[in-house]
Amino acid sequence: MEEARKKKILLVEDDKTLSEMYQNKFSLENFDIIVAYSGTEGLQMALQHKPDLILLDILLPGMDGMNVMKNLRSDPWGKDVPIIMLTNLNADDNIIKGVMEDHPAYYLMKSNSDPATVVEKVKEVIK
Amino acid sequence: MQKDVKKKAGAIFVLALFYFITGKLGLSLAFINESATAVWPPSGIAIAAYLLLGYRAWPAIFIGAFFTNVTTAGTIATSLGIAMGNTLEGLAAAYLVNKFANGKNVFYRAQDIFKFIVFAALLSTTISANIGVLTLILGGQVLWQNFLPVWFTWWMGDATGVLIFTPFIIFWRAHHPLQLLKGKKLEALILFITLMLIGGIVFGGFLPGNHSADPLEFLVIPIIIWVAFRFGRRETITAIVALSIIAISGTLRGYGPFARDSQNQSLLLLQSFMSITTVTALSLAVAVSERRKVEEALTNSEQRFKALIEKSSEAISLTDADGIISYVTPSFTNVLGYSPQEIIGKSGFTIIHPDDKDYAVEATSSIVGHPGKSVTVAIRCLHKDGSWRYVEITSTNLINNPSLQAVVSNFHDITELVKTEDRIMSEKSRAEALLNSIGDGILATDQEGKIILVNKVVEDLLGWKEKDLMGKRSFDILLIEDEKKNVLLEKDRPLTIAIKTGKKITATHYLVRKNGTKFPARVTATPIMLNGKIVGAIKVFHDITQEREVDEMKTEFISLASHELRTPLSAIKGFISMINNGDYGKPGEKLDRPLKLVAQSTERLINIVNEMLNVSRIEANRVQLAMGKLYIDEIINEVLANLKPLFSQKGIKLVIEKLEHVNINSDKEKIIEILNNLIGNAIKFTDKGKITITTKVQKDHLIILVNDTGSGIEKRDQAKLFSKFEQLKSKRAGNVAGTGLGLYISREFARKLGGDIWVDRSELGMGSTFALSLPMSDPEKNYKN
Repeated sequence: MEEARKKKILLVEDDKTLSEMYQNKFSLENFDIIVAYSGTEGLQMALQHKPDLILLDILLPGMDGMNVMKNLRSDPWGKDVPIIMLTNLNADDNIIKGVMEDHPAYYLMKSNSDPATVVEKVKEVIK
Repeated sequence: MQKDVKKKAGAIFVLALFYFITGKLGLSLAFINESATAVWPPSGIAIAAYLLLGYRAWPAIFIGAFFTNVTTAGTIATSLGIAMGNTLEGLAAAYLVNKFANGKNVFYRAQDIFKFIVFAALLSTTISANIGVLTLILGGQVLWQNFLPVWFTWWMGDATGVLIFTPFIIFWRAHHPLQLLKGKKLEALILFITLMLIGGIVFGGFLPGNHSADPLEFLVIPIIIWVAFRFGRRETITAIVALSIIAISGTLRGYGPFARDSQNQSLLLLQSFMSITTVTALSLAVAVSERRKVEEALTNSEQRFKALIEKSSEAISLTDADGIISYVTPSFTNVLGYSPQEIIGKSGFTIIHPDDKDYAVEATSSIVGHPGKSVTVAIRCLHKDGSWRYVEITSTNLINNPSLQAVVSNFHDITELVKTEDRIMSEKSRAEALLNSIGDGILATDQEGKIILVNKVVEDLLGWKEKDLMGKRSFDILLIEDEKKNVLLEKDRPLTIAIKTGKKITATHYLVRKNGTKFPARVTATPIMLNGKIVGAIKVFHDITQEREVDEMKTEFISLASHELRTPLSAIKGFISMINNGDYGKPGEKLDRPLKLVAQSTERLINIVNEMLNVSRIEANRVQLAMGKLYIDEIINEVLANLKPLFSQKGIKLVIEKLEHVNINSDKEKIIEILNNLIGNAIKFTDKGKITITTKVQKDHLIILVNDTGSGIEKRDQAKLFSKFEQLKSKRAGNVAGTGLGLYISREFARKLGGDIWVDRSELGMGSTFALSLPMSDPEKNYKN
């Protein structure tokens, strides 16, 4: 049963080091974590694997995080999936501000949040 | 006063004495009656005295005459009468001469001399003769039947005295410089000898034999003419006086053409002759001197004219229609170096610069055939010394003028003028070039704001032409907007402020071009001072569009770089926290300290990046506010909770005095950042003691006070605290790390939120209190900056 209860997390992050770090942490914390390295890939994997939660970077090659989220929110499945924006942009940057208002999501700043904090936040959202 | 009186009395005495002596001399020659003489110099002395000294001289005359007579033959009564006659005679003569014959200057003009003869010599003398003779008759000294001869003798004596002695005294008394006989000493000597000789021959019986019937008296005439022509009036009258003395003494001794049996008759004849001679000689001398004066004046004017012509820097030439010079003034040498002999007969065109020749020919032909017409040209002419001179030539066609029959040209050297003009022009163009090569726009106005100077850059930057701007009021034609694109009122414009305050002002504005487009410019306006008064202002400005772009690029760059830095920093931070967390197995104890330091350094690096991002955002004016309702006490508690480890680390006590549960509308993240900074600083700079947090409501603001017991800040350093990159290294920093941007960012954020940050109280060694105020109403309303 333990296996079945494993929550599936999709991490969309182009930085290899950071994604490895999060993979390490979430694996340790008993999550099933899959990784996409671009926005397009992230959207495909999300629709294909339907994870319990998506950790979404914003500045991504190709389609950026904002557009990924917009696309998801227009999908019947995607409109309800919890998303945590994981970024280095400040909350007051225009790009984020606009999206946050229209498409409710969580927001975490990478440099301010160590992996444990992120895990804590994820657990809080999908408990 | 007394001195004056004494002086006057002295003068009267001297004059009276003089009168007395000459009177006694005259009376010694009285033959027909003891009181009536044909030789009476005192009459002339009296008139001269009145003319020279004024009528106030009368007492001297009266006294002199009285004593002359009373000591001779008269009784007191007759002497008084005669003296009265003598006094009145002189007064009457002087009055008439003063009134009609130019007063004491009577002997300078022929017409005055004739009036003198009539009024003084002929008319006024009858007064003395009448009164004198009547007195004598009444006194019984003259019989009625002798009235006429005595009267005539009296009158003749007075008249001759007047004719000879009045001019004699006046000429000798006149303040002529004693230029007597200047350069004519030899001639004067010859004249004197001749005079004596002739005098002796005519009146002294020098010639052997009796010549009493011969009209030798005519010999006197050439002498008189000689002295009148060759010498002056004074010399003439002097010669007559000398001649009179010779004549009287000779005649009395029975010599000469006028010697008769009766001494009185001889003297009367002689006096008649002397009178006529005097009149003639005096008239002649005056006429000669008048003529001499006219001649002198003529000579002077001629010499002046000549000097003018010769020394003049202008020259005149006469040429025929072909330009052949027939005459030039001597001053032609002064203008072009050639003497008249060198240039006369040549064509004027030969000395004209080849490049100017056509112009000169054209000008000349424009007046040839048009009598009276003038033309002026400025051309280069060859000076005799080989240099080219700028000469202004005005030529007038006077060929039809019978006395000239030529083209008259005036030459005026204008080389210096042209050079000066050239210099001014080149100075002006240099100044203009300078003004224009300054890359900045320069625009000056007078104190009324009228534009008096613009350089080329202004034209280029604003699109207005200089001529469209000059003289116009800057405010009427040039639009200025502030950074928020509001049109500036006249009172807020830099030039107006500079003129009004006398201070230099620098500002960044948007200047509007003629076509309506605008550009950001750095503007400096400076008052123009003249003798301590503000007479206008000058504005220097340059387009800062590019600077702005560079600035934006810089901000963009920092922002981007910072973002890029954050990613690897996040990785470092994340991995360290996982290691510390034991996610990779428990690290050896040896690693505790290094890992802690790495974590701290990473944290610092992240802070720096964050602060730089904040600054770049502030500078680019891109700080965004995420406003929302929040409770300040909740936020403070949240911040304090996060900082708790630091308190316990340093062993500092935290005292929360009073937290108002106030709902405000603000940006939570910004407030957290500010509080983190303020409380973080307090912890940083406090080594022991406590940090006290309290809040209070003041009017419409909520104030949060952060008090520490740390090092404190000197007064003079407090103002610097909020500047960018300012760290008070000397007093505060110690080992404490930081960018020095924290308080700057905090204040900018606080102000953006409608509040402020300040040092509420701080003393060196006594700790500090920092205050943060936040508006409780909508901060946008209170937003300044």
